[in-house]
Amino acid sequence: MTYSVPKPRLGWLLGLAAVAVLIAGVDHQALAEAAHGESQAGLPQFDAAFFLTQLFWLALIFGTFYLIVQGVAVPKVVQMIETRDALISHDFKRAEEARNQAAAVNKIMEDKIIQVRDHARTILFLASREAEHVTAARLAMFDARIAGKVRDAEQRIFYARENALREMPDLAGALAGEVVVRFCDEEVKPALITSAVTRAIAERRAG
Amino acid sequence: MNPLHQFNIVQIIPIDISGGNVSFTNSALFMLIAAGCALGVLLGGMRHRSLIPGRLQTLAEVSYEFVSNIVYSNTGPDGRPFVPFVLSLFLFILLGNLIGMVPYTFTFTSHIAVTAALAMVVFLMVTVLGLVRHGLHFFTKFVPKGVPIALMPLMIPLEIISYFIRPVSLSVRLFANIMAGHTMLKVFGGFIVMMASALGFIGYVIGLLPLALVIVMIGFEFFVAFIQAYVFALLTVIYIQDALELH
Repeated sequence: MTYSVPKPRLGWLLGLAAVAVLIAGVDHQALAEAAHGESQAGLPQFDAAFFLTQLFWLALIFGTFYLIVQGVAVPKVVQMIETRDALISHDFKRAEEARNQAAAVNKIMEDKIIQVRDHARTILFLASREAEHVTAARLAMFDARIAGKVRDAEQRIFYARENALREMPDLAGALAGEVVVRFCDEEVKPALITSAVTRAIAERRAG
Repeated sequence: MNPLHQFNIVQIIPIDISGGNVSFTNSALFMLIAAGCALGVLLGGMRHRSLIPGRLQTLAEVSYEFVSNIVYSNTGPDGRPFVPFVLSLFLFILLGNLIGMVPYTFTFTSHIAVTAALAMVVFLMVTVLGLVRHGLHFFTKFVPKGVPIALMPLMIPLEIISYFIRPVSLSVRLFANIMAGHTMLKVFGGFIVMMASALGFIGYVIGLLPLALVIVMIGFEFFVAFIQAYVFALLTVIYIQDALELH
């Protein structure tokens, strides 16, 4: 902070000059006469007897006052105000910088969040796709296994039926022989019974 | 009961320099008090200069900023060297006026000799400033622009008269305002005493009227005390600006 004390010596010199002119202009003769008496009449302001003393003390007191104000008081006040202004503007600048910094950090964080979210979404997508694959494979495996089992079972059922069908004429023949013996008390040639049963079964199947 | 008695100058220490009476008077005493109070505020306020100002420091800073704002808003940065002068004028007149509001004090701004001297200082300073800054070009100030040549014989003398009347109006405005205010206060104050002493109880009752008036007028006089100091400082600044820029 640089502050140069203003040096308006001009005004002070002019003040002295003005007072000197005024003092020179005063009629000292009339002044001395007025001082000796008849000064009670009229306004005290126009009593010339006291002009000189007022001007003298005004010049002395106001001149000194001005010199002190100009030389001591004003520089101090100016310096104080400038110090404060500089500090305030400095603080404002720092606050501005801090705000920009915070905004930059915030931007980085937001970018990172977006990036991470995208990444998470990708992972999720891949995982769900993989899960789908796995599920599909498993399902296919189970389907195949179930289909195999079904096929085996059907085959077994088929064989069992075939067996049953193959054994049926003999069984039915024997049964029919027995039935005939029971009901008719007569022996029938088993070949006859067998052919009759076979024919009946064939008729059944066709019908 | 003479309402003008308050303006009498009383010698306190008679001093005589080669036939000239330069006695230390009540006027000089109150000039000293006013300047002392102003310096007390300015220097006292700047004693413990802190970033967050106290009461006295605030007063000092506000006084300075008030005057510097007047100067800078009229003249711009060119007016910087004149800030201390205008500040001195403003504070000296303001405190002279304000201290004069205290009963039994003396108001040195109610004397034409003082106000005329201050006005002459301003006038001479401004004139020399204009001459130094603009040389002989300064005198074009008295030739108004955009006026027909035929009117010049009328306008130029008018401009010159209005320029030289400045210190008169500046000094008479301050002196007359302060003197009139103080005289009026004394006259109305006298009414109260006269009624109370001449009419007895009724006088006390009727006396309330001028009393109320005096109370209002005292408030008004404080306002005038400030306004006159402000006007003196403002006109000084306007004259300085006028001398700096001519037109």
